[in-house]
Amino acid sequence: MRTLILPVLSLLFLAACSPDPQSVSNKKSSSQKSSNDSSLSLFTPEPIGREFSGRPWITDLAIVDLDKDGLLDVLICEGKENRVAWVRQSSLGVYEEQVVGDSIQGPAHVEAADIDLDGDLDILVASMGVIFPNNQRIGSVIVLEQTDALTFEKRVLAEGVDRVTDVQAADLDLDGDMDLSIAKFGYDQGEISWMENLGNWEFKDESLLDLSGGIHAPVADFDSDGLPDIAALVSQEWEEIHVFRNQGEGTFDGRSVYGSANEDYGSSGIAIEDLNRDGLPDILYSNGDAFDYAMPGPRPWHGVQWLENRKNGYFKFHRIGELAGAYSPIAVDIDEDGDLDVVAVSGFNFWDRPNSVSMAYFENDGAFRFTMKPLARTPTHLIVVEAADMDQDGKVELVTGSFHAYPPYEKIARLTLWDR
Amino acid sequence: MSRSYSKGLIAVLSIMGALILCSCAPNVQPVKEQYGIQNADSYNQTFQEEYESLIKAVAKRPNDSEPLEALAYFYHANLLLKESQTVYASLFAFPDSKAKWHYYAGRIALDLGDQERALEHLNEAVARDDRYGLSHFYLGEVFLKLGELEKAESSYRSYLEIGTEKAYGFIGLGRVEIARKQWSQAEGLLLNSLREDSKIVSAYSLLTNIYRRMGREDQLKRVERAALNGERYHQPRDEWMEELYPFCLEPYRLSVIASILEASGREREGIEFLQKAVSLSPENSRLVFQLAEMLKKSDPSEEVTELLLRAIELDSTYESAHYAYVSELDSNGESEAALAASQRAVELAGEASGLWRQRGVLLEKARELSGAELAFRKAVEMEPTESKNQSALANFLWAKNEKAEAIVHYKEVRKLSPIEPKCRAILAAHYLEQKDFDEARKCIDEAVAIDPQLDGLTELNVQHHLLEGSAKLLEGDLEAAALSFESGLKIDPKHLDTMVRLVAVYLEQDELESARATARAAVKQHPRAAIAYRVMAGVEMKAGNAQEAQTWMERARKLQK
Repeated sequence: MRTLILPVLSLLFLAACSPDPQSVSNKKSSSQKSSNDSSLSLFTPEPIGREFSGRPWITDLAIVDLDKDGLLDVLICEGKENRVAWVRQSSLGVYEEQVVGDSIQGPAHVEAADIDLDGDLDILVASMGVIFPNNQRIGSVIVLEQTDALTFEKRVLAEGVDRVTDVQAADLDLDGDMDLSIAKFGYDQGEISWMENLGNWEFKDESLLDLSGGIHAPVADFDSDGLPDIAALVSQEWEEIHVFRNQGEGTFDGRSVYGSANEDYGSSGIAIEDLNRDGLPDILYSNGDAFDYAMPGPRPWHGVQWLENRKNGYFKFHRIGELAGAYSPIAVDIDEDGDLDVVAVSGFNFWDRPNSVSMAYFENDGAFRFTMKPLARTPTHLIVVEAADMDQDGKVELVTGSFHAYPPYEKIARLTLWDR
Repeated sequence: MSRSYSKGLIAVLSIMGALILCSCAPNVQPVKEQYGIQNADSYNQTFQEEYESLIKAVAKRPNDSEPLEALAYFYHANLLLKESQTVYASLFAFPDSKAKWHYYAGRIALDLGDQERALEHLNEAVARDDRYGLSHFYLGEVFLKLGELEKAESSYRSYLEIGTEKAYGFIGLGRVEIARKQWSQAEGLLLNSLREDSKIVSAYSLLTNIYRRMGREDQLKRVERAALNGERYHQPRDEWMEELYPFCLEPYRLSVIASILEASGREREGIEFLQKAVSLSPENSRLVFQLAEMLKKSDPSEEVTELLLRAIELDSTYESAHYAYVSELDSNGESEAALAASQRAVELAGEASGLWRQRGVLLEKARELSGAELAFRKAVEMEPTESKNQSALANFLWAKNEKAEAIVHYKEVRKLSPIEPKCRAILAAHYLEQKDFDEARKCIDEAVAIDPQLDGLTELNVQHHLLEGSAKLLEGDLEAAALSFESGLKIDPKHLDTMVRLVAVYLEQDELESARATARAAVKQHPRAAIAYRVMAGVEMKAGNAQEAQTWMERARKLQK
């Protein structure tokens, strides 16, 4: 009997010396879980738009009051259906969908702007030709011109060019008309350029940077000189953000303001936000693209960061936090504490693991220290999110688009309104 | 020995035993607090065992760098980057701190976007051992991203001196020159890179950009063509990083390693890592499928079919596995088994339109045409925006001679896919029949832009000019007709029908010399074609040379006999 007791006592003694690491780590994670999980109920998801079957590819969306009826609508790109649709909020909370542009191959970006300055909103579309890798020059820049009230006519401003991923409107040469800022992904060849409006729907393309992998080319006056500048995100093996400072008269001086030397960094998007509200536009930046390998999936370096505008073309890099497969960063005051938090979605995660996050926000403590809080685990495969007070209740809603291009094909959605 | 003495002795022995046990089994808790990972239980069994064993080893030999080094490599290999950073930081305190550890820490910092730390570690790695080329190379990469061009240049030059894959050094230097807008210097460096290794796609991309900038169209086109042979994800081989691979026990990471090795032409090694991944996670259907696909490329064997079947057993709705399994059986000549497997595929994973399309192809091959048609129609009904579905149904209907409906679906393909040349060629022929020359021209131009080598495309192009020219001729628009025929001959200078009609137009326009030159070319190119001689006779007749015309007519008659 005693011979048995001795080792048992010893084991007990050892156990007392070293508490079960499992229980420690479980305790830690369960407490984290409970504090984090409360954020999951902040929004209630609700599908909007048409009924769907299969696996939707919503490649981009924009929130805008297209018909100027005082209610916000949603414009979407359907990458597989090759069309652009308008999800109109016909009365508060009632959404009806209609196609406004079809036969637009591989639409990747949509936004509304009054291109012809006739007082109504036209729709700008970046068309890749095909969404997945291809070396051919099959991209185009398209405007759906609002000719009569809510009647749209397709105009092709450029075609047979490298696959176009972004097009944004601004009067870049300050001559009173709307020019365009363009990102062309291409594949082995791509480009960042701007298109000068020559009038009568004629545009002249001027190259700013010849590198493959252009994703976004937003416009903002970064150096406060009154001239709109262009920021550009270049992915592929370059993984760089460039800023082209407008020198006036259609000339730009570009330089790289950030670059990762990790060619698998997975740059997935930039957005312009004045995150620290100092009056200077900053750059929000996500890296989470991960389609490169046989099994698409997350990387430990995926996440969200911001480039703080320190004036004179200098930007300071700050990591915000990790998010597997991060896409589409936006600044929103989610916790309504007066400072801007950052929301992002996940296009690539371990979707077979039930705890994988598909949307999160990074809570800003006011001093730009951020804590990641999950907003959703389902639906999965989200690549775009936008925010606005859709129902006019004084609180911000989110709208997300799903891109179900790889398995698992569960937890599928198309267009989701996240009501608060 | 008294009873009380023996009791006391037992008590002492008990305490000593406990103390001995305590000192034998190391206390792992402090080690876990310092270096441990959260949620270790979420990993596979082998990973957990290795983790526990490495932690124990560190606890047992806290003053020894070896177990700590193994733990760092284990974390790093399994992409637990933050954890490995912590362990490397402890390793740096050892007096025999290795250059390699600093290199690894530098690469992690670089992966995480922390360039300042990356520089710090990579510089330390070079200070400790400047013979490892990639330390210099990645220093160059970071300096380049930071815009410190002179330092980047210096690092790339150091890499060129000792690095084994010099092509990357030249690319780095080329990028430095591009940043300086020194196009000619950049061009020279990138050409050097391609001389070293003609497969790196980045070198072609950069060179293309330079030629665009310099406005050198011919070189631009040559490089664009050559770039098609380039390979993406071609990275410099990193022996130090590869030393970490054996420590990897995370199946997803192993899958990525396998993909990288495959892309570098090292399939056999990739397969070994995938086999390891499958053994660690035998229930993961996607890993099993990836292994089957990789095996198929390097060494087709029965094992491929077995693996595909296993992937399906693990996930009966796994469309890609079904598709590959049916294709494999079919390509092995097992048609009946393929058909049976296809039937099972649409039963189990029938939401995938591609499986219905595949079934249509198999049934058509087996001459079960009604079943094939149903399958093709089902695929289109399920996913009408998938151009492959529209194309498959169109091809089937075309072969069945139901051309009107086939054309409807070819039009859909053209609308859906900018990269499908065949539908455009067929539509071009259709529009030519309809005498809609403008639409035919658009289709031909699109097809040529997509694939200029497509079978029959040149003939189609010439036919377009021929028919368009003929129509203009009928309308009496001689100038437009001549232009069309001349365009056709630019594409195919030997096209007899076009030559004959062009001669007719020239004669109508009284352009005798042009007519004679074209007729002579026809005779030269087609010495056995009687019509060429008759045309020649016609020219001479028109020129008033009756004797000559007679001679040409006789030669034509001889050939006709």
